Amino acid sequence: MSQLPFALGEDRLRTLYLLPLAGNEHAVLELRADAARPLRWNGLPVDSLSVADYLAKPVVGPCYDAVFLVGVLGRPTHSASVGTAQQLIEIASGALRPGGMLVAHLDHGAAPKQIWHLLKRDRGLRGLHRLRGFETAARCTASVNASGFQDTECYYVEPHADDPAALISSHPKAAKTHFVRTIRRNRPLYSRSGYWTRALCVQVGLGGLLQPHLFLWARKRC
Amino acid sequence: MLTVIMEAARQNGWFDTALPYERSIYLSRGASMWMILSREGRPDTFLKFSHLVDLQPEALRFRDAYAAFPRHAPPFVGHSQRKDLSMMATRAVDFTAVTAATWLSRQDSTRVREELERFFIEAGDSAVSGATDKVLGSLQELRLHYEQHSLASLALPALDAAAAWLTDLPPIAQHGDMVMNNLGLRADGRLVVFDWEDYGALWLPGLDLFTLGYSFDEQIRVVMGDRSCAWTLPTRSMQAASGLDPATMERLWLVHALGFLYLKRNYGPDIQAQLHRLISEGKAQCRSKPTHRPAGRLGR
Repeated sequence: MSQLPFALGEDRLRTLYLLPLAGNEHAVLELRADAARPLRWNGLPVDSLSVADYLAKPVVGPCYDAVFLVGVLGRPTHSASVGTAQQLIEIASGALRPGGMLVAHLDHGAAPKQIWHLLKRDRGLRGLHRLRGFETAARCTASVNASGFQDTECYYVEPHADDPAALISSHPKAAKTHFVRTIRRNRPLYSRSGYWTRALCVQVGLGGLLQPHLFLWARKRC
Repeated sequence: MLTVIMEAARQNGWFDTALPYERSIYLSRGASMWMILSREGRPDTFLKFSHLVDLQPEALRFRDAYAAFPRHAPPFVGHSQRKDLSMMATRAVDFTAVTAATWLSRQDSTRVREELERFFIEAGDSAVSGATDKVLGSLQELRLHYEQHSLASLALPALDAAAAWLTDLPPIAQHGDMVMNNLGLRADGRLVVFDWEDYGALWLPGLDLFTLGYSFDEQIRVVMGDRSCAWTLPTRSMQAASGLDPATMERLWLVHALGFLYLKRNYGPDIQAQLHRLISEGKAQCRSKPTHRPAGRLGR
Protein backbone atom coordinates (compact mmCIF):
# COMPACT_ATOMS: atom_id res chain seq x y z
CA MET A 1 0.00 0.00 0.00
CA SER A 2 1.31 3.43 -0.93
CA GLN A 3 1.62 5.36 2.29
CA LEU A 4 0.68 8.74 0.89
CA PRO A 5 -0.99 8.06 -2.44
CA PHE A 6 -2.73 11.43 -2.63
CA ALA A 7 0.00 13.89 -1.89
CA LEU A 8 -1.26 16.14 -4.71
CA GLY A 9 -4.36 18.17 -3.93
CA GLU A 10 -5.82 17.59 -7.38
CA ASP A 11 -5.57 13.84 -6.89
CA ARG A 12 -7.52 14.03 -3.66
CA LEU A 13 -10.38 15.75 -5.43
CA ARG A 14 -10.21 13.40 -8.39
CA THR A 15 -10.50 10.34 -6.21
CA LEU A 16 -13.92 11.49 -5.10
CA TYR A 17 -15.45 11.58 -8.53
CA LEU A 18 -13.14 9.53 -10.76
CA LEU A 19 -12.45 6.40 -8.74
CA PRO A 20 -16.08 5.26 -8.87
CA LEU A 21 -15.88 5.62 -12.68
CA ALA A 22 -12.56 3.83 -13.14
CA GLY A 23 -12.71 0.37 -14.60
CA ASN A 24 -15.79 1.15 -16.64
CA GLU A 25 -16.26 2.58 -20.09
CA HIS A 26 -16.77 6.18 -19.06
CA ALA A 27 -15.81 9.35 -20.90
CA VAL A 28 -14.46 12.17 -18.78
CA LEU A 29 -13.61 15.72 -19.78
CA GLU A 30 -11.46 18.00 -17.67
CA LEU A 31 -11.39 21.68 -18.63
CA ARG A 32 -8.54 23.68 -17.20
CA ALA A 33 -7.25 27.24 -17.34
CA ASP A 34 -3.72 26.09 -18.16
CA ALA A 35 -2.38 23.97 -20.97
CA ALA A 36 -3.72 20.50 -21.59
CA ARG A 37 -1.83 17.46 -20.34
CA PRO A 38 -2.41 13.79 -21.05
CA LEU A 39 -4.16 12.13 -18.16
CA ARG A 40 -4.96 8.56 -17.33
CA TRP A 41 -6.49 7.92 -13.93
CA ASN A 42 -6.48 4.30 -12.73
CA GLY A 43 -6.83 3.17 -16.31
CA LEU A 44 -9.55 5.70 -17.06
CA PRO A 45 -8.60 8.05 -19.93
CA VAL A 46 -9.43 11.68 -19.24
CA ASP A 47 -9.66 14.31 -21.97
CA SER A 48 -7.80 17.16 -20.31
CA LEU A 49 -7.99 20.41 -22.27
CA SER A 50 -7.66 24.11 -21.71
CA VAL A 51 -10.92 25.96 -22.09
CA ALA A 52 -9.59 27.86 -25.11
CA ASP A 53 -8.51 24.63 -26.83
CA TYR A 54 -11.85 22.99 -26.14
CA LEU A 55 -13.81 25.96 -27.43
CA ALA A 56 -11.71 25.98 -30.61
CA LYS A 57 -12.95 22.46 -31.32
CA PRO A 58 -15.88 21.63 -29.05
CA VAL A 59 -17.56 18.23 -29.06
CA VAL A 60 -20.82 17.89 -30.92
CA GLY A 61 -23.61 16.71 -28.70
CA PRO A 62 -23.52 15.24 -25.20
CA CYS A 63 -20.87 12.54 -25.05
CA TYR A 64 -19.23 12.76 -21.64
CA ASP A 65 -20.20 11.04 -18.39
CA ALA A 66 -18.38 13.59 -16.27
CA VAL A 67 -17.05 17.11 -16.83
CA PHE A 68 -14.64 18.63 -14.37
CA LEU A 69 -14.05 22.38 -14.44
CA VAL A 70 -10.67 22.85 -12.78
CA GLY A 71 -10.55 26.37 -11.38
CA VAL A 72 -11.92 27.99 -14.53
CA LEU A 73 -15.23 29.34 -13.31
CA GLY A 74 -14.92 33.08 -12.90
CA ARG A 75 -11.47 33.26 -14.44
CA PRO A 76 -10.35 34.56 -17.83
CA THR A 77 -10.92 31.88 -20.47
CA HIS A 78 -9.02 33.63 -23.28
CA SER A 79 -12.10 33.22 -25.42
CA ALA A 80 -14.22 35.97 -26.91
CA SER A 81 -17.36 33.88 -26.71
CA VAL A 82 -17.16 32.69 -23.13
CA GLY A 83 -16.62 35.16 -20.31
CA THR A 84 -18.80 34.12 -17.40
CA ALA A 85 -19.19 31.18 -15.08
CA GLN A 86 -22.76 30.69 -16.27
CA GLN A 87 -21.59 30.32 -19.86
CA LEU A 88 -19.05 27.70 -18.88
CA ILE A 89 -21.67 25.75 -16.94
CA GLU A 90 -23.87 25.76 -20.03
CA ILE A 91 -20.99 24.50 -22.17
CA ALA A 92 -20.37 21.71 -19.67
CA SER A 93 -24.06 20.87 -19.69
CA GLY A 94 -23.99 20.62 -23.48
CA ALA A 95 -21.12 18.13 -23.32
CA LEU A 96 -22.69 15.96 -20.63
CA ARG A 97 -24.92 12.98 -21.20
CA PRO A 98 -28.20 12.97 -19.25
CA GLY A 99 -27.40 11.86 -15.74
CA GLY A 100 -23.77 12.86 -16.21
CA MET A 101 -21.84 14.52 -13.44
CA LEU A 102 -20.59 18.10 -13.33
CA VAL A 103 -17.76 18.80 -10.90
CA ALA A 104 -16.05 22.13 -10.37
CA HIS A 105 -14.06 24.15 -7.95
CA LEU A 106 -14.11 27.91 -8.14
CA ASP A 107 -13.20 31.06 -6.29
CA HIS A 108 -15.54 31.89 -3.43
CA GLY A 109 -16.72 35.32 -4.49
CA ALA A 110 -18.06 36.26 -1.05
CA ALA A 111 -14.81 35.66 0.81
CA PRO A 112 -13.15 39.02 1.59
CA LYS A 113 -9.73 37.58 0.79
CA GLN A 114 -10.98 36.37 -2.58
CA ILE A 115 -12.72 39.64 -3.42
CA TRP A 116 -9.45 41.46 -2.83
CA HIS A 117 -7.59 38.94 -4.95
CA LEU A 118 -10.08 39.19 -7.78
CA LEU A 119 -9.96 42.99 -7.79
CA LYS A 120 -6.18 42.94 -7.89
CA ARG A 121 -5.91 40.25 -10.54
CA ASP A 122 -8.40 41.76 -12.92
CA ARG A 123 -7.68 45.37 -12.03
CA GLY A 124 -11.26 46.17 -11.25
CA LEU A 125 -14.67 44.63 -11.15
CA ARG A 126 -14.40 42.34 -14.18
CA GLY A 127 -13.37 39.44 -12.02
CA LEU A 128 -16.49 39.79 -9.94
CA HIS A 129 -18.58 40.06 -13.10
CA ARG A 130 -17.35 36.68 -14.29
CA LEU A 131 -18.51 35.11 -11.06
CA ARG A 132 -21.92 36.77 -11.03
CA GLY A 133 -24.41 34.30 -9.69
CA PHE A 134 -21.68 32.12 -8.20
CA GLU A 135 -20.39 34.42 -5.50
CA THR A 136 -21.80 32.47 -2.58
CA ALA A 137 -22.48 28.80 -2.02
CA ALA A 138 -26.23 29.42 -2.05
CA ARG A 139 -26.18 31.39 -5.31
CA CYS A 140 -23.82 28.88 -6.86
CA THR A 141 -26.23 26.06 -6.04
CA ALA A 142 -29.19 28.00 -7.37
CA SER A 143 -27.38 28.92 -10.61
CA VAL A 144 -26.35 25.32 -11.29
CA ASN A 145 -29.85 24.02 -10.57
CA ALA A 146 -31.30 26.62 -12.92
CA SER A 147 -28.96 25.34 -15.66
CA GLY A 148 -30.59 21.93 -15.83
CA PHE A 149 -28.86 20.13 -13.02
CA GLN A 150 -30.10 18.38 -9.89
CA ASP A 151 -28.70 16.96 -6.64
CA THR A 152 -26.38 19.96 -6.54
CA GLU A 153 -24.07 20.11 -3.56
CA CYS A 154 -21.78 23.02 -2.87
CA TYR A 155 -19.00 22.84 -0.28
CA TYR A 156 -16.46 25.19 1.20
CA VAL A 157 -12.95 23.94 0.47
CA GLU A 158 -10.71 23.91 3.53
CA PRO A 159 -8.08 25.31 3.43
CA HIS A 160 -7.98 25.86 -0.36
CA ALA A 161 -8.40 23.99 -3.64
CA ASP A 162 -4.68 23.55 -4.32
CA ASP A 163 -4.27 21.49 -1.14
CA PRO A 164 -7.74 20.49 0.03
CA ALA A 165 -8.12 18.79 3.38
CA ALA A 166 -11.89 18.92 3.67
CA LEU A 167 -15.06 19.85 1.85
CA ILE A 168 -17.33 21.49 4.39
CA SER A 169 -21.08 21.43 3.99
CA SER A 170 -22.48 24.82 3.07
CA HIS A 171 -25.88 23.93 4.48
CA PRO A 172 -26.67 26.78 6.88
CA LYS A 173 -27.68 24.42 9.71
CA ALA A 174 -24.60 22.24 9.38
CA ALA A 175 -21.78 24.56 8.43
CA LYS A 176 -20.86 25.77 11.91
CA THR A 177 -20.77 22.31 13.49
CA HIS A 178 -18.79 20.89 10.63
CA PHE A 179 -16.34 23.77 10.63
CA VAL A 180 -15.64 23.30 14.33
CA ARG A 181 -14.77 19.66 13.78
CA THR A 182 -12.65 20.49 10.76
CA ILE A 183 -10.47 23.18 12.25
CA ARG A 184 -9.95 20.98 15.29
CA ARG A 185 -8.76 18.15 13.12
CA ASN A 186 -6.67 20.33 10.82
CA ARG A 187 -5.05 22.30 13.59
CA PRO A 188 -1.47 21.37 12.57
CA LEU A 189 -2.13 23.13 9.24
CA TYR A 190 -2.57 26.53 10.86
CA SER A 191 -0.34 29.00 12.58
CA ARG A 192 -1.33 29.88 16.12
CA SER A 193 -3.00 33.13 15.06
CA GLY A 194 -4.59 31.43 12.05
CA TYR A 195 -6.16 28.77 14.24
CA TRP A 196 -7.63 31.22 16.74
CA THR A 197 -8.91 33.50 13.95
CA ARG A 198 -10.68 30.55 12.38
CA ALA A 199 -12.05 29.37 15.71
CA LEU A 200 -13.49 32.81 16.43
CA CYS A 201 -15.00 33.23 12.98
CA VAL A 202 -16.54 29.79 13.11
CA GLN A 203 -18.10 30.43 16.52
CA VAL A 204 -19.90 33.52 15.21
CA GLY A 205 -21.05 31.67 12.08
CA LEU A 206 -18.62 33.27 9.65
CA GLY A 207 -16.48 30.23 8.94
CA GLY A 208 -17.52 30.14 5.30
CA LEU A 209 -16.18 33.63 4.62
CA LEU A 210 -12.66 32.43 5.38
CA GLN A 211 -12.72 29.86 2.64
CA PRO A 212 -11.28 31.08 -0.67
CA HIS A 213 -12.78 28.29 -2.80
CA LEU A 214 -15.99 26.43 -3.35
CA PHE A 215 -16.41 22.90 -4.64
CA LEU A 216 -19.56 21.75 -6.32
CA TRP A 217 -20.97 18.73 -8.04
CA ALA A 218 -24.29 18.06 -9.63
CA ARG A 219 -26.03 15.70 -11.96
CA LYS A 220 -27.50 16.68 -15.30
CA ARG A 221 -31.21 16.08 -15.35
CA CYS A 222 -32.34 13.15 -17.46
CA MET B 1 -22.34 11.63 -5.92
CA LEU B 2 -20.65 9.07 -3.73
CA THR B 3 -23.86 7.24 -4.48
CA VAL B 4 -22.35 3.80 -4.00
CA ILE B 5 -21.11 4.72 -0.55
CA MET B 6 -24.36 6.27 0.60
CA GLU B 7 -26.36 3.37 -0.81
CA ALA B 8 -24.14 0.90 1.02
CA ALA B 9 -24.61 2.85 4.26
CA ARG B 10 -28.36 2.70 3.77
CA GLN B 11 -28.43 -1.00 2.95
CA ASN B 12 -26.25 -1.83 5.94
CA GLY B 13 -28.71 -0.02 8.18
CA TRP B 14 -26.06 2.49 9.21
CA PHE B 15 -27.75 5.66 7.99
CA ASP B 16 -31.16 6.39 6.53
CA THR B 17 -30.47 8.45 3.41
CA ALA B 18 -34.19 8.92 2.75
CA LEU B 19 -34.32 11.64 5.39
CA PRO B 20 -32.67 15.04 4.79
CA TYR B 21 -29.05 15.17 5.83
CA GLU B 22 -25.87 17.15 5.38
CA ARG B 23 -22.32 15.92 5.01
CA SER B 24 -18.75 17.10 5.01
CA ILE B 25 -16.02 15.11 3.30
CA TYR B 26 -12.52 14.82 4.65
CA LEU B 27 -9.74 14.24 2.16
CA SER B 28 -6.46 12.83 3.35
CA ARG B 29 -3.16 12.19 1.69
CA GLY B 30 -3.51 8.59 2.80
CA ALA B 31 -5.52 5.84 1.24
CA SER B 32 -8.82 6.44 2.96
CA MET B 33 -11.26 9.31 3.36
CA TRP B 34 -14.24 9.92 5.54
CA MET B 35 -17.49 11.80 5.96
CA ILE B 36 -19.44 13.25 8.81
CA LEU B 37 -23.16 12.88 8.21
CA SER B 38 -25.47 15.13 10.17
CA ARG B 39 -29.12 16.01 10.44
CA GLU B 40 -29.94 19.68 10.91
CA GLY B 41 -26.38 20.23 12.03
CA ARG B 42 -26.37 17.48 14.65
CA PRO B 43 -23.60 14.96 13.88
CA ASP B 44 -24.97 11.48 13.39
CA THR B 45 -22.56 9.12 11.66
CA PHE B 46 -18.85 8.96 10.92
CA LEU B 47 -18.22 7.03 7.72
CA LYS B 48 -14.73 6.05 6.58
CA PHE B 49 -14.16 4.59 3.12
CA SER B 50 -11.37 3.50 0.84
CA HIS B 51 -10.99 1.99 -2.60
CA LEU B 52 -7.33 1.19 -1.96
CA VAL B 53 -7.08 -0.51 1.42
CA ASP B 54 -9.13 -2.94 3.47
CA LEU B 55 -10.52 -1.11 6.50
CA GLN B 56 -11.55 -4.25 8.35
CA PRO B 57 -8.48 -4.37 10.62
CA GLU B 58 -9.07 -0.77 11.61
CA ALA B 59 -12.80 -1.41 12.05
CA LEU B 60 -12.02 -4.27 14.43
CA ARG B 61 -9.84 -1.93 16.48
CA PHE B 62 -12.69 0.57 16.72
CA ARG B 63 -15.02 -2.25 17.72
CA ASP B 64 -12.65 -3.51 20.40
CA ALA B 65 -12.07 0.01 21.67
CA TYR B 66 -15.80 0.57 22.10
CA ALA B 67 -16.13 -2.74 23.89
CA ALA B 68 -13.31 -1.79 26.28
CA PHE B 69 -14.29 1.88 26.69
CA PRO B 70 -18.05 2.25 26.14
CA ARG B 71 -18.05 5.50 28.09
CA HIS B 72 -15.28 7.17 26.08
CA ALA B 73 -15.18 5.68 22.59
CA PRO B 74 -17.69 6.53 19.85
CA PRO B 75 -20.18 3.69 19.37
CA PHE B 76 -19.02 1.30 16.69
CA VAL B 77 -21.58 0.64 13.98
CA GLY B 78 -20.04 -1.75 11.47
CA HIS B 79 -17.79 -2.63 8.56
CA SER B 80 -18.56 -3.75 5.03
CA GLN B 81 -16.71 -4.65 1.85
CA ARG B 82 -18.24 -4.32 -1.61
CA LYS B 83 -15.91 -5.17 -4.48
CA ASP B 84 -13.03 -2.74 -3.98
CA LEU B 85 -14.89 -0.40 -1.62
CA SER B 86 -14.16 -0.92 2.07
CA MET B 87 -16.21 1.06 4.59
CA MET B 88 -16.63 1.36 8.31
CA ALA B 89 -18.93 3.47 10.46
CA THR B 90 -19.25 4.75 14.00
CA ARG B 91 -21.75 7.10 15.52
CA ALA B 92 -20.57 10.70 15.42
CA VAL B 93 -20.51 12.36 18.80
CA ASP B 94 -21.40 15.99 19.41
CA PHE B 95 -18.68 17.51 21.53
CA THR B 96 -16.70 20.55 22.56
CA ALA B 97 -13.05 20.35 21.70
CA VAL B 98 -10.57 20.16 24.57
CA THR B 99 -8.27 23.08 23.85
CA ALA B 100 -5.89 25.33 25.71
CA ALA B 101 -8.91 27.44 26.74
CA THR B 102 -10.35 24.41 28.55
CA TRP B 103 -7.50 24.51 31.02
CA LEU B 104 -8.22 28.12 31.94
CA SER B 105 -11.57 27.12 33.40
CA ARG B 106 -11.32 25.40 36.76
CA GLN B 107 -14.63 23.62 36.20
CA ASP B 108 -13.77 22.36 32.72
CA SER B 109 -10.21 21.42 33.56
CA THR B 110 -11.36 19.51 36.65
CA ARG B 111 -13.94 17.67 34.62
CA VAL B 112 -11.44 16.70 31.94
CA ARG B 113 -8.90 15.57 34.50
CA GLU B 114 -11.47 13.45 36.33
CA GLU B 115 -12.64 11.89 33.11
CA LEU B 116 -9.08 11.15 32.05
CA GLU B 117 -8.41 9.49 35.39
CA ARG B 118 -11.52 7.41 34.90
CA PHE B 119 -10.31 6.48 31.42
CA PHE B 120 -6.96 5.25 32.69
CA ILE B 121 -8.59 3.31 35.49
CA GLU B 122 -10.73 1.55 32.89
CA ALA B 123 -7.63 0.99 30.80
CA GLY B 124 -5.85 -0.50 33.79
CA ASP B 125 -8.81 -2.77 34.45
CA SER B 126 -8.55 -4.00 30.87
CA ALA B 127 -4.99 -5.24 31.38
CA VAL B 128 -4.67 -8.69 29.91
CA SER B 129 -2.83 -10.95 32.28
CA GLY B 130 -0.31 -13.16 30.61
CA ALA B 131 -0.12 -10.97 27.52
CA THR B 132 3.61 -10.38 27.90
CA ASP B 133 4.09 -11.70 24.38
CA LYS B 134 2.22 -8.63 23.12
CA VAL B 135 4.61 -6.34 24.97
CA LEU B 136 7.64 -8.18 23.65
CA GLY B 137 6.11 -8.26 20.20
CA SER B 138 5.71 -4.49 20.27
CA LEU B 139 9.33 -4.03 21.28
CA GLN B 140 10.45 -6.36 18.53
CA GLU B 141 8.36 -4.48 16.00
CA LEU B 142 10.00 -1.23 17.06
CA ARG B 143 13.43 -2.81 16.94
CA LEU B 144 12.91 -3.96 13.38
CA HIS B 145 11.73 -0.51 12.39
CA TYR B 146 14.67 1.32 13.93
CA GLU B 147 17.42 -1.06 12.80
CA GLN B 148 18.01 0.92 9.62
CA HIS B 149 16.83 4.23 11.01
CA SER B 150 18.93 7.31 11.61
CA LEU B 151 18.07 6.97 15.31
CA ALA B 152 19.32 3.38 15.49
CA SER B 153 22.27 4.15 17.75
CA LEU B 154 19.88 5.73 20.25
CA ALA B 155 16.88 3.48 19.78
CA LEU B 156 18.24 -0.06 19.77
CA PRO B 157 20.02 0.07 23.15
CA ALA B 158 16.94 1.64 24.75
CA LEU B 159 14.61 -0.98 23.31
CA ASP B 160 16.88 -3.85 24.27
CA ALA B 161 17.21 -2.54 27.82
CA ALA B 162 13.43 -2.14 28.15
CA ALA B 163 12.83 -5.72 27.00
CA ALA B 164 14.51 -6.95 30.16
CA TRP B 165 11.92 -5.51 32.53
CA LEU B 166 8.97 -4.04 30.62
CA THR B 167 7.03 -7.29 30.87
CA ASP B 168 6.91 -6.82 34.65
CA LEU B 169 4.37 -4.02 34.11
CA PRO B 170 0.65 -4.61 33.43
CA PRO B 171 0.14 -5.24 29.70
CA ILE B 172 -2.50 -2.77 28.51
CA ALA B 173 -3.56 -2.13 24.93
CA GLN B 174 -2.72 1.48 24.16
CA HIS B 175 -4.85 3.96 22.24
CA GLY B 176 -1.70 5.00 20.39
CA ASP B 177 -2.64 8.61 19.69
CA MET B 178 -3.84 9.89 23.04
CA VAL B 179 -3.37 13.59 22.36
CA MET B 180 -5.40 16.68 23.18
CA ASN B 181 -6.63 16.95 19.62
CA ASN B 182 -8.38 13.59 19.99
CA LEU B 183 -10.31 14.55 23.10
CA GLY B 184 -13.72 16.16 23.39
CA LEU B 185 -16.26 16.93 26.07
CA ARG B 186 -19.85 15.92 25.59
CA ALA B 187 -22.71 18.04 26.86
CA ASP B 188 -23.24 15.58 29.73
CA GLY B 189 -19.65 16.06 30.86
CA ARG B 190 -18.29 12.75 29.59
CA LEU B 191 -14.99 12.70 27.81
CA VAL B 192 -14.98 11.29 24.30
CA VAL B 193 -11.77 9.96 22.76
CA PHE B 194 -11.44 9.82 18.98
CA ASP B 195 -9.22 8.18 16.38
CA TRP B 196 -8.81 4.64 17.63
CA GLU B 197 -7.17 3.31 14.46
CA ASP B 198 -3.95 2.55 16.32
CA TYR B 199 -5.66 0.94 19.32
CA GLY B 200 -3.70 -2.12 20.36
CA ALA B 201 -1.03 -1.53 17.73
CA LEU B 202 1.59 -1.13 20.47
CA TRP B 203 1.43 -2.61 23.95
CA LEU B 204 3.97 -0.32 25.55
CA PRO B 205 2.92 0.34 29.15
CA GLY B 206 2.51 4.06 29.65
CA LEU B 207 2.55 5.07 25.99
CA ASP B 208 -0.81 6.83 26.23
CA LEU B 209 0.34 8.62 29.37
CA PHE B 210 3.40 9.81 27.49
CA THR B 211 1.50 11.10 24.45
CA LEU B 212 -1.05 12.77 26.69
CA GLY B 213 1.67 14.58 28.59
CA TYR B 214 3.52 15.50 25.41
CA SER B 215 0.48 17.03 23.71
CA PHE B 216 -0.62 18.73 26.91
CA ASP B 217 2.76 20.41 27.19
CA GLU B 218 2.50 21.54 23.58
CA GLN B 219 -0.99 22.94 24.09
CA ILE B 220 -0.62 24.65 27.45
CA ARG B 221 2.39 26.47 26.10
CA VAL B 222 -0.04 28.24 23.75
CA VAL B 223 -1.63 29.80 26.78
CA MET B 224 1.30 30.22 29.11
CA GLY B 225 4.20 30.71 26.77
CA ASP B 226 7.45 29.04 27.67
CA ARG B 227 6.91 29.23 31.38
CA SER B 228 6.81 25.85 33.03
CA CYS B 229 3.35 24.42 33.29
CA ALA B 230 1.48 24.49 36.55
CA TRP B 231 -0.71 21.65 35.55
CA THR B 232 0.86 18.28 35.10
CA LEU B 233 -0.55 15.59 32.92
CA PRO B 234 -0.64 12.73 33.35
CA THR B 235 -1.45 12.91 37.06
CA ARG B 236 -0.01 10.40 39.49
CA SER B 237 -3.36 8.71 39.86
CA MET B 238 -3.43 8.10 36.09
CA GLN B 239 0.05 6.65 36.28
CA ALA B 240 -0.86 4.48 39.27
CA ALA B 241 -3.91 3.11 37.45
CA SER B 242 -1.52 1.95 34.73
CA GLY B 243 0.82 0.36 37.29
CA LEU B 244 3.43 3.06 36.81
CA ASP B 245 5.11 5.70 38.88
CA PRO B 246 6.97 8.89 37.92
CA ALA B 247 10.37 7.22 38.09
CA THR B 248 9.28 4.46 35.72
CA MET B 249 7.75 7.01 33.34
CA GLU B 250 11.08 8.84 33.31
CA ARG B 251 12.87 5.60 32.63
CA LEU B 252 10.58 4.83 29.70
CA TRP B 253 10.59 8.28 28.17
CA LEU B 254 12.77 7.41 25.17
CA VAL B 255 10.96 4.13 24.48
CA HIS B 256 7.65 5.98 24.55
CA ALA B 257 8.95 8.68 22.22
CA LEU B 258 10.24 6.03 19.81
CA GLY B 259 6.90 4.26 19.91
CA PHE B 260 5.01 7.46 19.18
CA LEU B 261 7.33 8.34 16.29
CA TYR B 262 6.81 4.85 14.89
CA LEU B 263 3.02 5.17 15.00
CA LYS B 264 3.28 8.53 13.21
CA ARG B 265 5.44 7.12 10.41
CA ASN B 266 2.63 7.46 7.85
CA TYR B 267 1.80 11.02 8.79
CA GLY B 268 3.14 14.18 7.22
CA PRO B 269 6.73 15.29 7.61
CA ASP B 270 6.02 18.03 10.14
CA ILE B 271 5.02 15.81 13.06
CA GLN B 272 7.80 13.37 12.22
CA ALA B 273 10.38 16.14 12.23
CA GLN B 274 9.01 17.46 15.52
CA LEU B 275 9.25 14.09 17.23
CA HIS B 276 12.61 13.35 15.66
CA ARG B 277 13.96 16.59 17.04
CA LEU B 278 12.44 15.86 20.43
CA ILE B 279 14.20 12.51 20.61
CA SER B 280 17.50 13.75 19.25
CA GLU B 281 17.66 16.64 21.64
CA GLY B 282 16.39 14.52 24.53
CA LYS B 283 14.05 17.23 25.71
CA ALA B 284 11.65 16.31 28.52
CA GLN B 285 9.03 19.08 28.09
CA CYS B 286 7.43 18.99 31.55
CA ARG B 287 7.59 15.31 32.37
CA SER B 288 6.45 13.82 35.58
CA LYS B 289 6.50 16.63 38.06
CA PRO B 290 5.90 20.37 37.93
CA THR B 291 8.83 22.70 38.34
CA HIS B 292 6.70 25.78 38.92
CA ARG B 293 3.29 26.26 40.37
CA PRO B 294 1.97 29.80 40.08
CA ALA B 295 -0.94 30.84 42.27
CA GLY B 296 -4.29 31.28 40.66
CA ARG B 297 -6.65 29.42 38.43
CA LEU B 298 -4.73 26.41 37.36
CA GLY B 299 -5.16 24.34 40.53
CA ARG B 300 -3.12 21.43 41.75
